[in-house]
Amino acid sequence: VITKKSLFRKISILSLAVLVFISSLLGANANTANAIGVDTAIKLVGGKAVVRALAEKVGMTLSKKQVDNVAGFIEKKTFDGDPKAIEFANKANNLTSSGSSLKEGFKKYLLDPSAWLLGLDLLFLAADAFQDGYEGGTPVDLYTKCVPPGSSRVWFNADGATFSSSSGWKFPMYANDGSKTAYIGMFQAPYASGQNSGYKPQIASDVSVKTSIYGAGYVDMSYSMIVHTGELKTSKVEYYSNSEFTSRGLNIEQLIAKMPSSEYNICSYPVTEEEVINTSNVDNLISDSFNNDTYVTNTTYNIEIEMPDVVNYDDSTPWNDVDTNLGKEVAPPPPDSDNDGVPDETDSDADKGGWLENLLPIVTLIIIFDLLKAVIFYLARMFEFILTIPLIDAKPIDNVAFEWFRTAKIVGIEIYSVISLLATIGLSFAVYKVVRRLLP
Amino acid sequence: LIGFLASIVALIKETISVIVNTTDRIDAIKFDNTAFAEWLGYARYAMGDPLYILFTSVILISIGVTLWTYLLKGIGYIKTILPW
Repeated sequence: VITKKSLFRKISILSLAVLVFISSLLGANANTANAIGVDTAIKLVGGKAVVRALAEKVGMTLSKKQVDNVAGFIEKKTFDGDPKAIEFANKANNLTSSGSSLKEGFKKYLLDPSAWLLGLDLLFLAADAFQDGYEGGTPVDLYTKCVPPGSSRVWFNADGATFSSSSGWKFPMYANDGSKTAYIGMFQAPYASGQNSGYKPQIASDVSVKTSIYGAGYVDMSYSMIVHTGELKTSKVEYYSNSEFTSRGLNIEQLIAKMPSSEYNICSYPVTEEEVINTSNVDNLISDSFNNDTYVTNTTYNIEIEMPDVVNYDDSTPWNDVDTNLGKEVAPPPPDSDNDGVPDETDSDADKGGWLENLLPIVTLIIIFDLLKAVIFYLARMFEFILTIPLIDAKPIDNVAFEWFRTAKIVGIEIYSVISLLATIGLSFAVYKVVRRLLP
Repeated sequence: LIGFLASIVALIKETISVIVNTTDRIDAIKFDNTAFAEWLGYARYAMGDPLYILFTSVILISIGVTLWTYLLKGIGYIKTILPW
């Protein structure tokens, strides 16, 4: 007989089971992109999720349009047979060692973590190229205007950019210290480092660069450009440099040191006060770095304060005043008149009853209160940690066998999800029985 | 007498130093990024989110209920000891 009470219980347990099942699937998919191959991940969670996950891995910020383009590109079902794709793949022959499939080439890069940056850049290139079509184009003159420096003092100029089949694009890099501009050197564009003669962007134009100086002077940047080739009409590609360049970042001091004279002032522009480099004000540089919503490198600031060997403690000196006696030798105290090493009865400390008598109660109270405070805070922090145990982030287990187990399927059903679901239902039922027994 | 006082002063100073060091060490204890927290992260990954959250929540609630029960018992014992 199904009573209202038993029906309510059954519905509750069934709802819990459904909820747990859905949560289990969501939880399993969240880690999929990192744990398994890109191809499988695309099938499971979709191309967009994979692109976002990979972009996050390499520290890139992608717009929605970029994600859509790349995801759409790699999800194309008829991609392998697309003649345009094969043509493009043949030109980008460093991508196609496994055949004429561009998708295979991308997978090769995407599956190699060390090449994710390059792989993603090439994905952008290809996705934008396919979006714009293969209508052919006419090479235009090299863009010769001075590239505005954007928000910072280091920038790149399309004038003088070079391309070689072996090393790709290189851009001259400049810096300005507020009064003069200097040529720093040629910057190797990250995306081009793996390209060869298969794809030859001949002209770069409309290069706009936004650079940021982080903390001690590491330089990061994002830039966009329109690449013209004989085959592609236009393809606007946006690149976001990160570790590729920051690892080679120059210290701001080195940048300034490389500014020998104004004869390098080949790219003049109005300099605002904000653009003046003030190397003495580290705080400004640090705040600049955090005002930019871009990739931030881990930079450690080592501030060494040289303390004088001898410090003259003078209670009459206000804290905010400069103690002119710092670093100076302090005259030794006058010796006892009888020079016997025993404190005289007329010593000032003796008049006050001795330092121990005056100081000990206060110091003892302070350190005991400190200890009590530390213990209470420790207990509070421990309590907080215990409460947050259910919310601790999952850490992937770097084990091939376990990853295989997580993704193994029988008749299209993931074994892991089923086992996790059954265990959850079993535990839920056990908890239900215990609660029912304890609470009448 | 002076030597005796000096030894007492040294003892007090040492005691103060030990207490201060203990305070610093207690303050320096962190719970995040510990081996235990890392192990819990692995456990969550291995168990899956729903099972892990359910499991840890049940354990925490059980511990809380147990402690609460013992607290009530303790209060009861204290009440029986008190004369009023």
